[in-house]
This record gives sequence, structure tokens and C-alpha cells, in this order.
Amino acid sequence: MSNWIARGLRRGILTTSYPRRDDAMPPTYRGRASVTSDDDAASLERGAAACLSAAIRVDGTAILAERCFQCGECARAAPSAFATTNDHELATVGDADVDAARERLRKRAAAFGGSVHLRHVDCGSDASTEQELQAIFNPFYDVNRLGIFMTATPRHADILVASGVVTHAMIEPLRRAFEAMPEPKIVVALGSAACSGTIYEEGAVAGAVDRFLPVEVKIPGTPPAPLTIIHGLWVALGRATARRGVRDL
Amino acid sequence: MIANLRADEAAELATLKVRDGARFLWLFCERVGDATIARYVVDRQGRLESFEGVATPGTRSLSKDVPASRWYEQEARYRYGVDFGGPSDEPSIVKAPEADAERMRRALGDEVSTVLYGPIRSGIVESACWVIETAGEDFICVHPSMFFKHRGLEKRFEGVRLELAPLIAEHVSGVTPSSHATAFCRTVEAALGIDVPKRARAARAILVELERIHQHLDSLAKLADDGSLSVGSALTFAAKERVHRMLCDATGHRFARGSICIGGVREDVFSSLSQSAVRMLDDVEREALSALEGLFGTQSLMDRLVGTGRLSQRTVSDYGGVGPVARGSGVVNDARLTDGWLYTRLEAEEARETEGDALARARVRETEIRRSFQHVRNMLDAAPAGPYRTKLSEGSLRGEAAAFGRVESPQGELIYFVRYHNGLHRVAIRSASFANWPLFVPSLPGNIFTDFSFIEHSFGLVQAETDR
Amino acid sequence: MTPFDLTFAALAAVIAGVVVSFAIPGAAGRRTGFCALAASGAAATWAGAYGLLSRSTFVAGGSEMHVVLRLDALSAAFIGIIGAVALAAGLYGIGGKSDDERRTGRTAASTACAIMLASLLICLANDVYLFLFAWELLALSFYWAIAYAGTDDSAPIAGFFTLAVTHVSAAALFIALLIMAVSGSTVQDALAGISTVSAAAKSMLFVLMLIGFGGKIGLLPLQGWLPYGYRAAPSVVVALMAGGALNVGFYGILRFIFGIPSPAPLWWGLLVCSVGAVGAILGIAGAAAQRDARTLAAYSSIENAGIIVSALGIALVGRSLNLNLLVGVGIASALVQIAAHALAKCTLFLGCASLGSRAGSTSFDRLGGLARSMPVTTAGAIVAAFSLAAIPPMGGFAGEWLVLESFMQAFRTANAAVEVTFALCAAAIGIAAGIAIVAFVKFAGIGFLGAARSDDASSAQEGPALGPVAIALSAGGVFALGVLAGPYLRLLAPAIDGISHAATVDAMLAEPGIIQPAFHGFSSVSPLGLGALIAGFGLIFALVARLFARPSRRRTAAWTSGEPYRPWTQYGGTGFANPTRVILDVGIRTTRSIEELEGQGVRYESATRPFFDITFYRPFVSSALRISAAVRRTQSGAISAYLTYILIFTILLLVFYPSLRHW
Repeated sequence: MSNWIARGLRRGILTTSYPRRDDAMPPTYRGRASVTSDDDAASLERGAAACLSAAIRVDGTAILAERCFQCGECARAAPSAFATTNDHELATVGDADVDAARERLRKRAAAFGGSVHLRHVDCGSDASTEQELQAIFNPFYDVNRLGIFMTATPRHADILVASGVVTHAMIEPLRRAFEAMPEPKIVVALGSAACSGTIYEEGAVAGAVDRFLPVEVKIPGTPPAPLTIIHGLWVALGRATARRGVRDL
Repeated sequence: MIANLRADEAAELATLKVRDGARFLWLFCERVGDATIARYVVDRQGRLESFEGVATPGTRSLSKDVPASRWYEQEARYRYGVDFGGPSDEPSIVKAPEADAERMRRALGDEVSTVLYGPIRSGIVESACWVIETAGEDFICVHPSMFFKHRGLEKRFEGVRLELAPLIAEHVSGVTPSSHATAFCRTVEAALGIDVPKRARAARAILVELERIHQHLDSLAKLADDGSLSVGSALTFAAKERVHRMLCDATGHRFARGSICIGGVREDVFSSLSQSAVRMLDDVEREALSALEGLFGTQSLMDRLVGTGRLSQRTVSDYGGVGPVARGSGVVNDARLTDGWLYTRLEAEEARETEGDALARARVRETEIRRSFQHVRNMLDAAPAGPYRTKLSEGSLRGEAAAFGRVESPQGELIYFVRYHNGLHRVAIRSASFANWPLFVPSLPGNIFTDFSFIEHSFGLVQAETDR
Repeated sequence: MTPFDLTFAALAAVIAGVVVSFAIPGAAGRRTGFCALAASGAAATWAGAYGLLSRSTFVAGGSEMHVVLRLDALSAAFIGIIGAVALAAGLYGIGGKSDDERRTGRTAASTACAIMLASLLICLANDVYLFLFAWELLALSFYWAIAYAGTDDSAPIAGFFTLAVTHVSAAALFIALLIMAVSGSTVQDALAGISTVSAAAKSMLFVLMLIGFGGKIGLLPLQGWLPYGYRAAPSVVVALMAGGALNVGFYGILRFIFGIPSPAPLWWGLLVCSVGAVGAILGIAGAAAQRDARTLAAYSSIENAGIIVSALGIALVGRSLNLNLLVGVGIASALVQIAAHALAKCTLFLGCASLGSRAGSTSFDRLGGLARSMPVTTAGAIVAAFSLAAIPPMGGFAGEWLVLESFMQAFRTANAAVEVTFALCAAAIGIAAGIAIVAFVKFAGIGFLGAARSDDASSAQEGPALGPVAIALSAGGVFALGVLAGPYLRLLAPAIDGISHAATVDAMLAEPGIIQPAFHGFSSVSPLGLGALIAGFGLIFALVARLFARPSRRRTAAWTSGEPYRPWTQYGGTGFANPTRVILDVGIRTTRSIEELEGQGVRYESATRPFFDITFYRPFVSSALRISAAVRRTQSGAISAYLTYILIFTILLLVFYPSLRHW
């Protein structure tokens, strides 16, 4: 019979203290893509053409984090204009005033007490978001220490985590899951496809989650790394400030 | 490939080949102008042969002679309106919005009650629905209702620049992006006659093997979780995490997306993998093997897996099973063996079990993990020199061609088809998960409800690549 | 008016009922018959209570005619219970014809009256021949009700089966009683006459009487006819059969077996306890596997018969060891359990009659969703289910508590055999109580709660007024018996103390408000207190929920994994009881068959065969048939054979007559 106690003790503590203490992804990680210089219009055009999900707006140059699926093609096509950083804190909220948003979320999360329960709904993801969401419970991240737990039924859930672009067949199940949750509740769109629908075509899928449910927090990433997810949940609980939410056109 | 036939004749040819011992692989359709072309693909002694013909109303159905064709016919019926063998009273696997689960019930008898399991199930799982008819805790009839996650990806490829197209392939299954990107790239390279340098092929192979390791660890960790072995599950997930960290260190993405392109790899992935391996591979391997040792030494978990979800060799070959699911029942059809794929010293018999139960499939995965680590080390040691990418010239991108490409993904044999006419015209994907799902239903009778998740995780299939 | 006058009134009413329901055609005849039944029931209940309170014995009749009626405390106790059940059944019957009564339903009414008549006569008979006449009348009424009064297809077979088993046991009873009647035809003389007989003969009489009375109550191994009989007869009549007439078997045991003059060997009591305990487990195991409410109730009757009989076994043991208090507590627990079971079973079968007529079926696979549309029937069924599953504060709890407490007095006997047997029997009855919970949650939950499983069930409605009134009355009786168990024991004191020859009830009710199992300081329960506590907590909880309820409330659909809610995704009865069925497979052999239908799917069927049917009845019947086939060969019809028989017999007579004369 395997001696699991010895096995566990031998490894010591693997868990990160994030978000209470800082932690970062490795320097090679392709996290947030950013515009380094907007002088050369040709470079900007080239980079924008390299983006399959149309995340780059050339006029008033910006990269819509919610549409970015972290391929790095813009940086490869136009290295002078675009670059990727290993910044993993990507979560956005809908309000322009991020501090007011944080306050509102904090007040509501206070009703949850010390712990919050997540209910996950897969609306049409590519399966990687699920495995990264599962990863936040592994010994390296262990979100249970932060009071975040999974629940099997929406009746007990506080936060609805919707991953993947919403397909036609999943519209009603998603709505039913939202209906089945008691107030107060928060909807979090997990993954760039859930936030914006990235590369998926309009008719083939039904759209991003915020077309069907009131999404409070969007966590971009394809898939979002565990640290990104933890940061996003922390924003949803009003304990961290999101970066500004940029509305999709 | 033989053209200008009717679909009936193509079906007939395919059936003859199957009777001769070929393995039925795939049936898919294509709209060419007004006509719908049906394409039958078989594997004869390691070589792919396909027969296409124009589908007419009343095209004969193969599903009685070749059970492996059933699900392909159903999807074609739904998506392309081809009615194979006339109207079918078989419950459709495709979850159309109008489809009512009531019509799927097939077991008569007052005592039978029906459970609708899905699409939103408990835990962090992908969406799929199962209509389970039971008299208590057993499985009398089970009907899958899938394609909740259909995202229209095959169509998305059409007209996309070749430079960016592999990124779409990576979206088909986000957990096995290297296998999908490699399969897609190989297919296009075969169609356009593009040669890929050895260094790139080695890099691709290493990524696919590392992918195999983290997906198999995922399946075993979930089995441990089902068996309430919390520490075992946690340590196995931790081992998987280490693989992802190594991939992130080497390629900048935890699942290694964005590395593979047509003609090779985007950067010198091979050297970054070598550098990461020097620092991290020993730890990754040690932790993975230690977790495996622990899991297989836990009798309570082994007891749950023995005899669960048994599949006979006959059933697996009839339904065309692939990958670890097929190996568990003694059927080996590894794409690495047939496609001359840089694997030295890969033996066909190595990861082969005969029991056909969940434990056999778990043991297959265990062996494959061990062997994958060895393959990775062998390939890193071989260190082929040279360029890591063949540049695509404008001329090479003109032409008209079609080709197939195969890769052994963690779930099994993955096949891509590309029809190219100065641009991507039709991309069709036959994922290993789609090939293996039909085996799930025959594996259930004789088990009870609580065995469902054990069997599901012992199959280790990905819904995203099934529904596309 | 003396109690005796009331009993005469009851008898007269029910005789009139039999006659009238034959004479007057159509629904009027039926209704008059049930009126007579109800009137008789009312009179009998009153007579029983009055008789117990008056604490005197009444005799009437002449022994030359062999018609002697005697009303003492024991008779009064039983007449009271039977009367209460008859009253409820009669009221229900007046309410309207149920669908399971054949044609005009007059047969149902007349058989019910006949059953009541026979039961009353049995309880009142003081003459052995009258007793046997009434016993046979009861058996024939049962047959008549099962074979002719109902609409079920199984009626002829069920009737024959009942007749066969009842007569096998009646044969044993006849032999025993007729032997006893040699000493004198009144019951007292007959019993007194056995005191001179040898111990072996006494034991033989005991076994014969046990078989005789056991056949009526469904004691192992004579219980096979109950499920068939209770299913075939109309449920209104079955309410009387199962709730009322069944008890005459217990009466017989108390009158005759306890009447056998001491000393009684110890093994009598131990045998009775063991047979009862085994019967209890096998009975309830069968109940959990049933798909039809009536057969579930029938198997529950087998279980309760086992429990009551084992309580009587405790009393027999006490008698052998001269522990009068043990005798008393055994009889007290048996009587309370008898009353609780009678009323609960009556409610259950009246509920089944309602289900059959209003909800279209008594099969669990077709019921459900009746809580709003048939509230009284549902409430009554739940009360009865609670009682039979021994949940406080119902009568069944009081009864089973007393039985188990009586078993625990084994240490007072200082006898190893008794202590071991009592421990095993108590464990068996405890297990039976546990399985009973599964069976009755299935009955109440699958049968009445949840959503409707068929169109008939979804369009069900409560019946005409008197039906629900009758159900409410008997359910109320179950509840009252539970809460007022103490006063009921006080009422039964003359009966209990009369047989135990000790002031049992005084010992049990020594302290106010609680009941103790006769021996002081061992244990106690306060049914009234429990009832008050349960009601009190319920009230407090409801108040707290109301006062502190969150202001926001939203109605939304049930969560079914994202699919829309569909009523046919409910669990069925078979599924619910499946784990129990699997575990108890040794007792209830289940066969399942899955048959592939051409292109249509599969058909799933399962059937349960009780263990006893396979291992006991089948071999018994086939060997009996073999023997009779062999014997039939002597009746060849050839005259030469018969002449040979006469010749042989004459020779034998000549040879042995001299020695016979001396014997």
C-alpha cells in the first residue's frame, strides 16, 4: 500500500502565497500583449493583419485584452510596434471607474462570508480553460486556502464561472444555470473566448457570455493561467483592482 | 483516390476493403458546387486509401456492415442532410435545438426511469448530455447527446492565410494543440510538397510527447479523484503542473500553443526545449513517475478500476477504436508506427493490455508516460542540427491538391484532411475522441452509476475536439 | 344497556347486512350492506370499550345447542379493535363503489358483512363447535371475497390458494380442538381437560393450534396466500380482512394456547419467538421489493404478524418461567401492536381503494403527484406509513417500542437459551424495522409525492366525502393510539392482567405520563410527551422560518443539469428500493430480463419470487401432487381391485380385532 503521507511530507510546501504576496509567471510567458510604439503605421497594419481575432484597433491604437488569445503573432509580424509581457493580471470589469467597481464588488462579496463557491459552466470552450480552472486547486496554487471552493450545484453557488464561447445549444442551459443561482451572485467570463468570442464566427456560435448574462468580471487568456484566474477571482471579490475594462465595439 | 463515382459505389469499395482486413477510418462530406461529395477513408496495412462519390438520396448506409461508420453517418446526416439508407429511427447523437430527449427513450417497461445527465454536470467538466435509462442503478440503455460545443471550426479554416491557419487548429482542442497543429501542418505540407527540416520535426515530436505526458497524467489524476484518493490526485495534478511549467519556460505558453507553423516551428523551439529540459526535465520525470508508482500501489483505487467498463477486442475493432482505449483491449493502431515519424525504437507491443477494463487503460497510460519521457530524452540527445523552418515562397502557395495527415495525439489517432486550391478550401478533422466515443456506450452495461465517471475518465476523451 | 346487548346488536346488524345485500338489487343493496357493516362496527367498538370498562363477564346461550356466547375482557378487547376497523371500512364503502368491486359491488358488501359476522362469533364463541363453525365461516367468507368480489384477473387462483392454505391450517386446528372437545364442549371445559394429558400430547396440541392460528395471521410458513388474496379482493373488503379479521388468529392464540394449563415447556415460547422474528424479516424484505401498493401492504402484514407473534412468544416464555410480569408485558405489547397494526393497515387499504378508483392504479410505476389533488388520502397514507415503519408519535412506534423493550428483559430470566433467543429475535425485529422504513418511504414517497407518473395520476381527485372521512378517521385512530398509548393500556388492563395474573398495567403506568415495560426503573417512554415535543418543535421551526425568513424569494424551475425539467426523469419505485433488493437477494430472488425488440429498443422486465415460494411451497405442492398421483392408482375403477381391498381389510380385521378390543 502506498505511503501517501510520506510522499506528501517529503515534498514540503509547494503552494504559492499569491495573491497575498507577489508571484509572477516565468519571463518567457506570453501574457499581456502591448503596443510599444505607435509611430510606424505600416508596422501597426502588419501587426493588426496578423491577429486572427481582430484584437488590435489601429486608430487609437489599443489591443483589446478580451479578444487577445496570446498567440504572439503581432509581436512576430511587427516587433517594433508590439511586444508581449509576462504580465498575468489581465482581469477587466465593465465599469470605467475601476475603483468604484472594486468597492461595489467588495460590498457584495461581504455577503458571502469567509468562503465563496464557484459553479462552472462550459459554454463551448476548447477544453484548456477547464484544465487550467482545475489547476487552481492543485498543490501549487490551492485556492481553498483563500476560501474559494467548487460546488456541484448552482443552488449553492455564489459565482458562476462561464468558460468558452457560447454555442447555440448552450444558450438555454447557461441561462438555466444562472436562473438557478440565488442572489447575490456574480458572473465571471473565464477565457478570452468567453469574454469576446475571439476567432469564432458570428453565425457558427451564439456569441460571448455577456450577450446572455450580466458579466461582472472578464478574465482573458487562452487559456488563462492559474495565476490569472486567481487574480480574476480576487477582483470579483473586490479584493484587487482590475485594469480598466475596455468595451468591445 | 478514386473520383467520379456515386457515393454508393464508393461505399461499396470501402466495405470490400474492410472485409479484406482494412480498418475503417472515416466518412465525411464536402459541398462542391451543388453536389455533396461523401468520402470514405480506410487504412490498409498502414496506408490511407479514400474513395469519394456524389451522395444521392438513398445512399446506402454502411452502419450494419461496418459499425465504425455509424457516428460519421449520423453527423453527415445532420450537417449535410445526406440520408444514408433512408430515415433512421436511431436516436441522433447530435443535439439539435429541437431534439427532444423524450424521443430518445428506447427501453420499454414500467420500471424503467430515465436520467438526463448533462449538459452541465457536476465538477469542472465539458458539456455533453447522456440520456440514461435505468431501473435503479444499472445501465439499460444509454444515448449520448453531443455537439453542444459545436463551434464551426472546420469552416473557420476556409480562406485563412496559411501563416495563421495552424492557430485555428490549436483551437480545436486547446489541451492537445501541438497534436492538432502538427497534424494540420503535416497535411498541408503533404498537399503542397513542403519539406520540413529534421530539427523542426524533432521539436514537434517532443512537444507532442510532452503533451501526451500531461494529458495522461490528467486522466490518471481524475481517476484518483473519482476514487476519493485526494492526496494521490493532488500529487498527480502537481506532476502535470510541472510539465506545463516546463512547456511555458520553453515556448512561452503552458500548453505550447503558437509554436508550430507550416514548414516547421516559429522559433528555435528545439534549443529552448533543450535548455528547459536541462534544468527541469529530471524533476518533472521524477515527480510524474513517483505519482504513478503511488497510484498503482493503492489497492483501493485498483479495486475500483478492475473489471470496470470492460470492452472486448472484438467490439473495439468493430467500432474502430484508437489510442489508449484500443490498446487497453489489445488493439494497437498507433499513428507513430505507420507514419514514419522520427520515433526510433518504438515497439508496437510495448503498451498493450488485453483485459479491456479501466485498469488496463490506466496501465497503458502509465507505460506510455514512461516511454514518452524516454522518447523525449532520446530526441533531445539526438539534437539534429540545421534550420528550424522552411520558408514558404509565393510559388509554393499556388496549386490545387488534397491530402491527409495523421498524428498520434494523446487520445489516439488524429487525422486531418485538407483540400487546397490557392487557399484553404475544405479542412476536415477526424479526432481520436470522435472515433472513441462510440465505444463508451457498449462499455457501460454491467456497471452501476458510480462507475460512470471512472469509465469516462479512463477513456480520457476531449469533447471540444469531438464537437469541433 | 349492557355490553352484551351491544354485541347482540352488532351481530344482528351484520346478519341483516348479509341478507339485505343479497336481497336488494343494485347500488342500494350494496349501500345498505355497508351501512349495516358500519353500524355493526360502531356497536362493536362501543361494546368492546364498555365491556372492558365494566370489568365483568357476560354469558348467554345454551350448551345443548352448542351456541354459547361469552364476552369477557379479552373478547371485548378484540371486538373493539375489529369494530373500529369495520366502522371505517363500512363508512368508506357507503361513500361509493370502488373500481375494484365487481359489477354492482353487492358481493363486496355481503362478504364484508359475512367476514364481520364470523369474526365477531369467533371472539364471542364459548363453545368449541361454535368456534369451529365460525372459523370455517370466516375461511369461506375470505374465499368468497377473494374469488368473487374483485375484478382482478388473479382472483380464481388467489381464491384457490387462500382456500388451500386456510384449510390446511384449519385441519390442524380442527384436530386439536376436537381432541380437546372430548372433555367438554365449552372452551373452559375443553382447556381444563388437557391438564391430565401427557407432555408430548400437550406439545402436539400446541403445534397443531399454532399451525391453525398461524394460517390465518400469515405466520411463516403459511403466509404465501396473503399477497395474492389481498391483491385479488376489493380493497375495501381487504381493509376489513387485514385490519379486522386477521386479529382473530391472535385472539385464538391468546384464548387457547395461553389457556393450556401450566406447566408449559420453555421451547414453546422460544419457537414462537423465532418463527415470528424470521417471518418479520422475510415479510418486510418482500415488501420492499413490491411494485404494487396492495402487495406491499400484504407483506407488511406478514411482518407485523411476525412481530406480534414474537411478543406473544415472550409472554409464553414468561409463563414457562413463572415470571408473570414478563407475561403481562409481552401480552401488553402484543395488544398495542395489534391495535396499531389493525388501524394502520385499514388506513392503508382504504388508501389503496382510493388510489385504484381515483388515480387509476395501485402500481407505483403509475402513481405520484397526489399530495395536492388527494390531500386526505395522502395524509392518511403517510400517517399509516409512519406507524408501520415505527416512527413516533404513531401507534406503531408505541407497539414496537414495547415489543423491543420486552425482549430486553431477557436478563431477568437468568436462562441462557432465553437470553440468546431473545437477543437474536430483537436484532431481527430491529432489522425488520429498518427495512420497513425503506418499504414505507417507497410507499408514501413514490406513491403519493413527487410528480405524477401517468395521466391517470395527474388527473386524480379525492373521492366523494365519506371516503376521505373514513380514511381520516382511521388515520386519526393511529395517531391517537400513539399519543394516548397509556390510557389505552389502562383500558386493556382487565384483559392483560387476566391472562398474566399480575398487575401488569399498574406496573407499566406506575409513574404518570410515561410507560415502562412493567419492570420498574429499566426504561420508559412518554408517547404523549413525544407527540407534544414533535408538534412543539414543528411549530417553533415554522415560526422561526416565518419570522426570520429572508425578504427576497424567487420561484424558479428545478435544476436538472441544464436541460428543461421533464416529469419522466423521476426515480421509480424499483429504482428506489433497488439497493435493498440487491442486499436481500437471498430472501427475495429477483430475476431481470432485457429483451431486444426489433429495431425498437429493449424491453426490461423484472420479477421477484419470495424465497419461501421457491424453497417451501413449490416442493411441498409437487410432492403432495406426487403422493396423490400415487394414491390415485389405488382408485383404478376396476371392480376386482375394490373386491380385493374389501377382502384384505376383512382379513386384517379378523386378525387384529381381538387385540384391538383390549386396547
